[in-house]
Amino acid sequence: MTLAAYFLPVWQWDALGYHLPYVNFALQRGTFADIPVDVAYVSTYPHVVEHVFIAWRALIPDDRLVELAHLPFGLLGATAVGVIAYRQGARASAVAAGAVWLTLPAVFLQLPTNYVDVASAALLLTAIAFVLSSVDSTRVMLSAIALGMFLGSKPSAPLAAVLVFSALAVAAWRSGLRTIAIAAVVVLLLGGESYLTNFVRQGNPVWPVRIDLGPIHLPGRFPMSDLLASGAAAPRTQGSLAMRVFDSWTTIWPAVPAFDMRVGGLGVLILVALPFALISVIRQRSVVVALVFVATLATPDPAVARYVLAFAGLVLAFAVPTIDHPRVGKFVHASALVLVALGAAHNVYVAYPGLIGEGPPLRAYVDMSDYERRRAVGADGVPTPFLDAVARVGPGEIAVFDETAYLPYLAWPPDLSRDAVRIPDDATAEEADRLVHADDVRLLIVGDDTVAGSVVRRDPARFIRIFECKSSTCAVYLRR
Amino acid sequence: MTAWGMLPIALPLSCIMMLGLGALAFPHDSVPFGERLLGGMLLTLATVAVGVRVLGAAGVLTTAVVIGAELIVTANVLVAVRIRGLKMWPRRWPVSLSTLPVLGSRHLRWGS
Repeated sequence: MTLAAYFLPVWQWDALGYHLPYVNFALQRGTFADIPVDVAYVSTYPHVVEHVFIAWRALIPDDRLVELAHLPFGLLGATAVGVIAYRQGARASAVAAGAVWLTLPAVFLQLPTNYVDVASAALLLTAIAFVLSSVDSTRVMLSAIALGMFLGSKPSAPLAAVLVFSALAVAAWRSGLRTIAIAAVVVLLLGGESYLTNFVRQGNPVWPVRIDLGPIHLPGRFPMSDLLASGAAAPRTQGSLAMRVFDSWTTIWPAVPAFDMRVGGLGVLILVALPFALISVIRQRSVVVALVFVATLATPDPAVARYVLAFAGLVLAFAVPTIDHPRVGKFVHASALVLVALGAAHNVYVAYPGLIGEGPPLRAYVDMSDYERRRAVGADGVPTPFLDAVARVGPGEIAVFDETAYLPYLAWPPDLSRDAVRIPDDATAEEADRLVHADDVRLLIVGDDTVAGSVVRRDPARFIRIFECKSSTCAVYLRR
Repeated sequence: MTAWGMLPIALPLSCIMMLGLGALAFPHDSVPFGERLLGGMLLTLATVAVGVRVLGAAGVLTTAVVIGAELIVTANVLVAVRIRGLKMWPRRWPVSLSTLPVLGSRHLRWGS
């Protein structure tokens, strides 16, 4: 994973689209004041995980290792799975459970990227680990901190956060603790900012997703179905929810590597562990355990592996104590651990092709220069035209882009030595004209059907159209 | 500067902070080490996330300030651990500086 993060450029769609642009906006002049307001995802997405990415990126000179910023969250999640397994009675195999979680194709493939699903799942598992421990004031607060960060990691987190907080409240009440109100405040302080901001500015805490839930109608740009239909182009499951879940979870060897919204990604070990975990849950007859399991499935689409990574972690944690059961003989115990290791190796083998996208194999990168590596693979074809265009932005000059730039991260050079500015969606013709004709603007990524695009097209003597974007209506111009 | 930038300094500091915060959260040896580690990791990541939010709001989100802030927080955690007389690594090492001569003498005796 480290090699993939080091050798490959940033090539994944969501990282280029909104996770890393947020990071760059914050770091280009060291302030959040540069982050544009009311921009779908870039500014409206909860940003707790990106804040950690920002710290990581601030410490490195360019973006070659920026994708490793996700790795600490992977270790957090693996530790959480191990702690839960230990509390469920596992001993030697508790560590194995955590390690196996890292090898699940959907986890393994996402760790060396600047997506946030592994981080989000890790934070949820951490909150659950403290809920399932012998609850005291310290653990209530730690669980609340993890839950707050989880809430602030993805806009799909609120329902799961409420369910786990309910479990925490039940556990705290049974232990006679009165700190649950303080815990609620901690959760909201750490994770509530984006929801509050969106609610105040747009009247919908999860804007731009439109909410139509019974009598509740909250404004937004598009419905949840559009969101679920987006992502890396690939075959996906069809039919009822149960059928889609069955199809996706049982796909061990997907036709296309399991990444983003694609089919499969949980690997073979989850299928083996699931019956043991279910038996363990049923035997415990615990409201708290039931609530946390339901919480891990409270996602927009449980058929998509990246949305149920926490569920997979819980399944492993509840299944592995079976291996350490006193009645299990030494030979069976050792054999089971060997099979688990083989299953983990199989997971990594299945996942490997997804690490490199549509680019050359990993070993080919060893002989490449940094210049060649950056041009080897991209989210929407190789990014060579963008990199060449950005290289022509000189000191003191900037790039500007509008809403049609789907991959705005490509507007910055990898070392962040030049700034970029986003043209507001509601810019008037006068405002767009002023922004486009500013003295320091050198590169423009604007739409064929936007105000800024029409301003640029009116002045062909000044703006040279150098190429068109592939998946959106934008075109790239250089100012003479 | 290599691709690793300030990470060779920042990552060890983060590990120290993580162990220190874990010890402060769970001062008793009875708590499993994994849980203490988990608490320390979580508190370290939370400190980073909140720290960046504050520095970004203040408009001082630069490399120097980030690494400086990490140094200060780690130093404070170490002081707090020291004041409370806690051990960041709960397991006792089989060999310490004071017991090294004993091990050496045993080796000499076996060797003779």
